[in-house]
Amino acid sequence: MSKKHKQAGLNRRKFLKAVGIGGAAAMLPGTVRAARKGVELATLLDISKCIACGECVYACRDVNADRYPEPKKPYPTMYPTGRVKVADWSDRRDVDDRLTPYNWLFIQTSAVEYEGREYELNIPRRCMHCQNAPCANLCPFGACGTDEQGITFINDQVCMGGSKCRSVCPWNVPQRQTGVGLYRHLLPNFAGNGVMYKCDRCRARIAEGELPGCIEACPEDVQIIGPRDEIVRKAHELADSMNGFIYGENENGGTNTLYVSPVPFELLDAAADKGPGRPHLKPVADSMAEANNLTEAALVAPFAGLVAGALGIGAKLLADGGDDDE
Amino acid sequence: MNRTPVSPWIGRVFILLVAVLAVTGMLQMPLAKRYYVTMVPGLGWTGDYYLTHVLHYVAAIGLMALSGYLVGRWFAGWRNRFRLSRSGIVRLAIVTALILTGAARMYKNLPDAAFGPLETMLLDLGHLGLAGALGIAALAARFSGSRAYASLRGSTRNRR
Ligand code: HEM
Ligand code: SF4
Ligand code: SF4
Ligand code: SF4
Repeated sequence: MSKKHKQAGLNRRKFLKAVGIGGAAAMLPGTVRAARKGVELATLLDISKCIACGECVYACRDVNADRYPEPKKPYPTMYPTGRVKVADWSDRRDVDDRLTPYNWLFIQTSAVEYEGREYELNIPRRCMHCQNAPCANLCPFGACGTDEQGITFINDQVCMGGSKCRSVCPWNVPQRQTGVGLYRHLLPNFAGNGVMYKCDRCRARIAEGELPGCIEACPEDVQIIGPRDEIVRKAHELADSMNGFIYGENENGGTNTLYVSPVPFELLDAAADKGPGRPHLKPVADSMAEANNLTEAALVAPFAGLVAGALGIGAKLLADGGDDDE
Repeated sequence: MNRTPVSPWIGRVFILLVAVLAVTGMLQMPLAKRYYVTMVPGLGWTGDYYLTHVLHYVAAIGLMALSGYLVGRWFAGWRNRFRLSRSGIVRLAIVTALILTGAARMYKNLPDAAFGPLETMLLDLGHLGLAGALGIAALAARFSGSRAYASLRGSTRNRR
């Protein structure tokens, strides 16, 4: 399969090159091997270091420029017209203070006071890459998927733009652009509404052994990437060293994006500008917990039924026509 | 003595479960809000993806338990006395495939299950296609008069 092939072909030279150019601190040892084996990778963001220079945001736009939607106007009318909204960002591509189909990363800023000190902290926000991502689990078309390296991504060839992934995402991350994608070839007036876009943690670059664009570009080495266990260990070391706090380790059942901050995230959340395209920093319970519990019951159900059936349990009660002794 | 092995009660439960699965399955697709279903008084829940997902799971568990039961009864005796109708075989094959693809999809949703993106997509589109096929087969069975899944061996009715 092409996926395996790519993994096996991970280019060590390129990885080393990336590490060579300033990125040395950004990649933990063993990341190349881990990525090749399909081990879950996570990122750690030390937000005390971020100066909001925006280099990562520009880098993201740069490396992903040819993946942005190029919708053809006019868009097909979508019925019922009062119910379906056109989501058109194609004339506002420069918006960079929130998530949009053309901006998969933005810098959120929180000015807070904590233990008598003033802080202005900058938080690079993008998809968290949940370990058991509801956006991927609940996509009815299989367009949103997760891979072995802990990346969640949306296949722009298959996505119908129904925006279910955004509804079920605790941070409402994916963003819609109308007028592109598969729906235009099916029933554009009655089903679908474009394609959803978000950070895919530079999946193609990682497959080529390169660092994600935002990590490579950051002059302050705010982010590092590596095998998740290592990243979790590092995050705790860092948090301990600054008496700080971690966000993302256990949120939504665990994510592959760990923020470390010197002030509690409740304060950052309260002070941050939130709203559409600007995610919160609140505690998040595991969205898939109920489904996971039910799956355990599902394992037993057919066998319990089989045994009951084989023993003829309940046959009389159900006034069963096939009962031999009737 | 009945001509089909299943009691009316089993038949009703089976139809109810499949109906719940069909409705909650459809609701996995983002259409309730767009098509005003959520605005019908009492149907606001149809727009809650987590709720409809859990309902689909619960009904799926019910269907798997019932299927296990029917398979158990079939091999414990029914098969000597009844035969499956042709349309019954078709529909049972589709339901079986729905259960298999649905169960695989359920397993995939567990935290530690590793499914490739391509496998996930094929599974999903397969499940969706099978749901459509079951709808067509059910209508065909209804209108061709061969509604029974099984009948007594030796009887000529409902052979189709
Ligand atoms: C008569 C039986 C059934 C019908 C008509 C049905 C129908 C559907 C439909 C239309 C969808 C949405 C499209 C898709 O994701 O493919 C769906 C999704 C799904 N179904 Fe079923 N289904 C049936 C049985 C089952 C069973 C037995 C299971 C599990 C054992 C199951 C598990 C699922 C799962 C996990 C999804 C994905 C939902 C999500 O996570 O978004 N289904 N079903
Ligand atoms: S943050 Fe949202 S979009 Fe990203 S993986 Fe988690 S659920 Fe999906
Ligand atoms: S990982 Fe890639 S896609 Fe995601 S924010 Fe960084 S540059 Fe953008
Ligand atoms: S490049 Fe680094 S320092 Fe600059 S805004 Fe992005 S994360 Fe912050």
